[in-house]
Amino acid sequence: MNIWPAIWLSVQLASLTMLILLLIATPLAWWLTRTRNPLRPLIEALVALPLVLPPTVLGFYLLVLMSPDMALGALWLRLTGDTLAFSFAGLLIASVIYSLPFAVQPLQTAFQSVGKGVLEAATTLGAGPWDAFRSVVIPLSRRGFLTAMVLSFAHTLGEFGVVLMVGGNIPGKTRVISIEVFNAVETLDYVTAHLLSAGLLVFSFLVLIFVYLMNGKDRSKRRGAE
Amino acid sequence: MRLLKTGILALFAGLFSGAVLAGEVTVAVASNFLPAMQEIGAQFRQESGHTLRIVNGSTGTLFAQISKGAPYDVFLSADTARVTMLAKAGKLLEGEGKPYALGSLVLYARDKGVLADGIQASLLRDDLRHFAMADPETAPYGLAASQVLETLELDVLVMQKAVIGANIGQTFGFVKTGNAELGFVALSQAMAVGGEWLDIPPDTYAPIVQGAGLLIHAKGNDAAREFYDYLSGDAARAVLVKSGYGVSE
Repeated sequence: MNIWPAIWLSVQLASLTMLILLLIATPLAWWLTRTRNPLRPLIEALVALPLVLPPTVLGFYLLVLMSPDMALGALWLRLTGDTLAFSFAGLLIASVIYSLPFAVQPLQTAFQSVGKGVLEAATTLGAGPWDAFRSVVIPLSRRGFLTAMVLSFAHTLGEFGVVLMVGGNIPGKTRVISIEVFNAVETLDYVTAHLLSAGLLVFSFLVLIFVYLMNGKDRSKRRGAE
Repeated sequence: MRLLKTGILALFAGLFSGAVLAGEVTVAVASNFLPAMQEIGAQFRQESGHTLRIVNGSTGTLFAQISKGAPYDVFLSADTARVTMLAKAGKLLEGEGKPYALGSLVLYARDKGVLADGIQASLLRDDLRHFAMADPETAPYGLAASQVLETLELDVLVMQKAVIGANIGQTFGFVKTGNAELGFVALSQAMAVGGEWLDIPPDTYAPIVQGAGLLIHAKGNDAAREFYDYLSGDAARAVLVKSGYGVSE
């Protein structure tokens, strides 16, 4: 039983999801931090939905949306000649939605703790909004960015229900680690199941220790500043 | 008020008298057989007065649960191999289990006209994007589908268009949602939902025999044995045939 194709695929999926989420979640989290728009709670609720929805619900809706009967599925089919379901691109879209709150929320927390005073100081010194964001907000939110990256990567690595619904279990294209574990148990291949499960367990645990260490440093730094 | 009291008393009396006579059976059933099982179960409840609980899941998952001591009385597998394995592991009350249903494989399409040219031509069409089949390693209908492709010498030509469902239910869903144009599914599913399908010649795949076993958890449970025997009776067989299964002799 060769376990490497599934691992490699999972790592590719998680890395790309993380990068796309950085691009989407950063402006979204910044907007949510700064806006006085009355719609904000609505958008925040939408972003947090994947935290509480069963992945199977998300997967079911995505399977329906990706069907060639629907606008999204039909458009994709016209552009690429292939269905969105059962493709790596389909999994990537699913993962971005599924891990969105894990990127947005740490960034929002970080941006909120930057504070208005520092930004105002930067503006007074003649920095434009983009310059202020780049040279003040980003360095001060470094830990938030790191946490968002690590969590969205790890969460994508652990997804199962969504992939099961829209992946189609194609080796090298959509057969990720969690699906491989499921298959291994179903075919009574407990050696493979143990290997992959133990690997994921240890990796996830280390990731979370890293996140909590970061947060701990953050807290002690704030206490020191007071 | 008095009427209410009498009613409540009568209700309790009914409950207790029932509890003395009626037994409880828990049946673990492979998901492909669930609709037929629900119908057989409803009849059995009515005729016997016993309580019957139905647990469904994939054959592999149920097998793993039973191996770890899950409290099921009867196991209705999608294959015979798992029942034989349970027998070898000493998880059956007696014997080697028995066949209870024969599955038939069909090539299914949601939309009209897709299957107009027959099995081979439909699968070989250039503009076919995906056909769905269940995992040959875990699902008996998936194994049958891969045998059909081999027999018709299509496997090398079309396998790169296959999308694999974790089980036959998911495979059917891929076709039903329009994500795959064709799919190898169970006749029972096609009959239950409707659509277009072609019967696949039975000589192109090994018979899909579904096996049942009476589990050690049913020890001393007369209701469980009663249900196990009921499966081979005429009433259950009538439901089987109506649902798209063959009956094994």
